[in-house]
Amino acid sequence: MRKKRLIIIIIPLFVLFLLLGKHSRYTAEFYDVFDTHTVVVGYARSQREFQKYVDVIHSEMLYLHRQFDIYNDYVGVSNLKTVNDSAGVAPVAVEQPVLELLKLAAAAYRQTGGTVNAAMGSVLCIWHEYRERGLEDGPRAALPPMQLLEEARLHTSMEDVVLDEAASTVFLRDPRLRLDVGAIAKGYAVQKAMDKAAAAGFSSGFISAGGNVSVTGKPKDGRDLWRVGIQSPVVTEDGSQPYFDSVSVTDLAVVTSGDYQRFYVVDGLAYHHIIDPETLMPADRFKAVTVLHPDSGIADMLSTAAFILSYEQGIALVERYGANAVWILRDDTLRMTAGYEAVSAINRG
Amino acid sequence: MDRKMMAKRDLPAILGLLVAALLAWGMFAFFVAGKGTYAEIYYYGDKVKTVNLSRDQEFSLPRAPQVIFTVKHNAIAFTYSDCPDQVCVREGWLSGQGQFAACLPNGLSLWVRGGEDRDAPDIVAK
Repeated sequence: MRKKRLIIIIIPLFVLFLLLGKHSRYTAEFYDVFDTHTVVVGYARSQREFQKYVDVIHSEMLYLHRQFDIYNDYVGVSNLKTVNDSAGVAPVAVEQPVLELLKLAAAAYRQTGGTVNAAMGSVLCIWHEYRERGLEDGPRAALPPMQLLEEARLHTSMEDVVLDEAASTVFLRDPRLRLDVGAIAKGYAVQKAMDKAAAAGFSSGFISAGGNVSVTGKPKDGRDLWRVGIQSPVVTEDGSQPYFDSVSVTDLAVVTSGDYQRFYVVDGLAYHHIIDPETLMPADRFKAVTVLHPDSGIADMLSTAAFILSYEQGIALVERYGANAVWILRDDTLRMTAGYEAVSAINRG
Repeated sequence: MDRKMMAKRDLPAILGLLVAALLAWGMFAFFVAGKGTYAEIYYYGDKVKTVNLSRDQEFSLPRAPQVIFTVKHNAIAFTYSDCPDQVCVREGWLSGQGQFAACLPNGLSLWVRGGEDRDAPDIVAK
């Protein structure tokens, strides 16, 4: 009789113990940062624990979204719009994230030979305006006049962006210069959010900010690695756009630059949003480039650069940063680094 | 006169609960997920609809009548939206487990789940 009683008590307690320690997979999403759909997925012991990580991620991304916003003012906040609005007038006192991002931007400018240029705002805002108009009124969509773009290009020198770290200020010497950090801001914010979440205990999951993905730890379903699909830039005849590959990775950021998401059409041709500083037109060497690197800010910067640069220049840059990448050429063939191939599902049958 | 923690006569109740739970899961699996993949629609982070992909249909959510979803040939797509950038419509037909698309201005996201693809991705980088 005693043994039976013990078993009857022990088994439920054991099951309870297992359930309490069990990690479940949770998902959350938000729409209010970086003009993008952000998803957070992770394993946690409870919804409440997961929500703690989501709150850390969301509040960090919202904070940085406001700091890096070039379109909106926020009461009591000195952000990039504030800096742009004071161009040629006076230095603007800013917070640490703005200084840090602009320092990264300066390094990116040097390392990419000016291909990634956070001072290109005056050119980009012309394209932005024509693209918005073209989306709103398709039949009257038009390309910006090259003369206008060339004139704006005269005001895109990073040398005119003066950072004073001691005073924590930014001064744009050229009154027509405008900062636009679109090439690096989202990736940088995802990395910062991941870092903060990790400090709070987030150890298994990922963030996807509009497809800019960063994964951490092991999925707690027995696997060692996460599977991150890579979107195909090609829309098939039946109108679907599946992923053409997936990489098995962890503690890594996977970031893509491509011609297929944000574009408008003029006379039957698509014009996307990644502008080549040399031609002042949308870069058209590749359909897409995806970069893998542990730091999401660096991956974001490299994917933009590699999408614009030639393959030879791009692969040299990618290798210099210890990153990996895959290029999809205009004829739909692929080029990839050895490190990318090692984690890729292609050719694995 | 101690009351035993768990008596033999409790067993049928426990078994009954287990069977009920299994039945509920089974019904879900059979009617919704059992046929393979299905879709889920989220509105600002809350799941608002589960869609059976084996039945062709066209619908919009009462709270977002300006966005139309179509299900055809076991795939689902945003086929119309009033958003300016049309990023959602351009994603085209989703049919593979793990695929997703979103319409930011309307707060909607669409995910394909279920299926038996062991190699399906956790997320798609784009």
